[in-house]
Amino acid sequence: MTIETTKLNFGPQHPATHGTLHIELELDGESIFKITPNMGFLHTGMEKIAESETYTQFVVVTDRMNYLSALNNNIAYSQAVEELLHITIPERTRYIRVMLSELSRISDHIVSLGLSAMDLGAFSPFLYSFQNRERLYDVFEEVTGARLTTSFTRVGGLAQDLPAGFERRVKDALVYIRNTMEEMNDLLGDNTIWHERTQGVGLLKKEEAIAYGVTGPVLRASGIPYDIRKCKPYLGYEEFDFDLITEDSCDVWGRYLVRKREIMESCKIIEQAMERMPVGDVNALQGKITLPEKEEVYTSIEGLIHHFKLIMDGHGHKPTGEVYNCSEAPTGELGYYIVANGTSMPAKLHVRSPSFYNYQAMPEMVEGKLVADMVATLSSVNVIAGELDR
Amino acid sequence: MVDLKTVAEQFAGTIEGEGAQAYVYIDSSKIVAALELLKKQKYDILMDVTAIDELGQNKPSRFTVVYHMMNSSDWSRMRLKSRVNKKETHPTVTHLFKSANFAEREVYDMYGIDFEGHSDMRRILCPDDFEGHPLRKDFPLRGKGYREDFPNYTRDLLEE
Repeated sequence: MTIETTKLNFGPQHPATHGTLHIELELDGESIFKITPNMGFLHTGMEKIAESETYTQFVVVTDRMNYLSALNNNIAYSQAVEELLHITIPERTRYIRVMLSELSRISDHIVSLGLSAMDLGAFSPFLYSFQNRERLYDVFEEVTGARLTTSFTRVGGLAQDLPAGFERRVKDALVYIRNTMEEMNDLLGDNTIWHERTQGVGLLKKEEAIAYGVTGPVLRASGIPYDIRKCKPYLGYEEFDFDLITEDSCDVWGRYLVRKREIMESCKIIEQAMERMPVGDVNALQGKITLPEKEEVYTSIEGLIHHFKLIMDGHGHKPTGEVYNCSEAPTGELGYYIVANGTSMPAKLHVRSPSFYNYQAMPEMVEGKLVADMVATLSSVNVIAGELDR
Repeated sequence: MVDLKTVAEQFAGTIEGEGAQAYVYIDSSKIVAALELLKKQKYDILMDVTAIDELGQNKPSRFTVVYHMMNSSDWSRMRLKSRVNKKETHPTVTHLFKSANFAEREVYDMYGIDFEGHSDMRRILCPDDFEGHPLRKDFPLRGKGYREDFPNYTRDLLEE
């Protein structure tokens, strides 16, 4: 017997796609027979752009990949270039980076939680989470000068030091976040509808998660303890006391729990980083890798030459060799693979974006299930179109 | 326990690079067997597939396909490379790793490397009727008008 299926297009402009994705559904009644995930609507050729930009200029482009957590992208990219150039960054920069990447992780996770609730019809958690993100964006604005497109890191350092009064603002934000998470818990965690719509939905078994190269909260919700901050520590994450969160339920509910608990762990890391924040420079001084002070450029010939050597066309950082550097972005493993050829621009830059691989596992999670479950699953995977298409 | 050295010995590969960023070149006819061995030895996560265009660098081939593998027990990494020329096909690894599906389609879309045996070799990021492969070094950097004004818009013609 052949099954007569109905074709349905989900996206590219559907509110639950959170960007521009297209999924072709083949439906047998209300259950999904087959899905074909498509992408490319936000393809901007960032990897091509990288080949004609210097290493510093490309930081700006990385903001536009995962636009919910631009700082994580900035930090991951700078880290890869620093490994290529064999630079060690100052202690203070390391701590600031840890703190900012955790703040950015919270803002990504909290929005992801709010949106996945909204997709299932619960509107209030969405408002709570966006209000919360607003607090964090105020902090980012004060530090970087921008809310969304932060472009804060530089090769070997940061654009600037933290502003005065930063600590107090972050502490206020953390109190607010912890309160909101409790409220979110009341709204979702004790909500029967939320339980029923998420438990046992979008199942991704351990073996399948490994086969698809899934990373991030989705992998950890499938019971695999892989978090780069623990498994291959970078930025000195091994010095911080936090837990690796895993859940064994493999479903949307598990991903919700992982994100929720990771927000609390991130709060812990931020507090520890603030407590131990060292004083000193934020830019690496060895090897004239970062820009000199403006004062020096205008008053001394050495400073002027130093500035010239970094800024002028054809000059700048000229590494050789190749590097694959990965870090834990809110959606999963964000890797930068850079092949350098001794000129001021990379010969090849490839971004291993977490969403690209997580999105690929969609058919595994939804085929044979109901259409309504697909919406829940898609938002739990948290596919960011900017990062998916690059 | 398998490492870069044993892979190189077993499949007649050459190790290049240094330290944690070392990688091994394996002939494209042996790459599937090499990845199969790695999969059995716990290197069962294919993290990433990409390619490099080495036009005009006097390399033995035009393209290099790069595989990033990860060990699912101790999370160590291994990078394998294999060479492929223009108009040649490269064997697929989709039957070993499900994650290779989208990744190989991306390499095909961006570099025009055809993966033999891939069940769904379509473009993934560019539209289906798009001409050319954007990440090739001879792909013009400017827009449409620029290409129409200059007849020699692609160096593919010079190469042949």
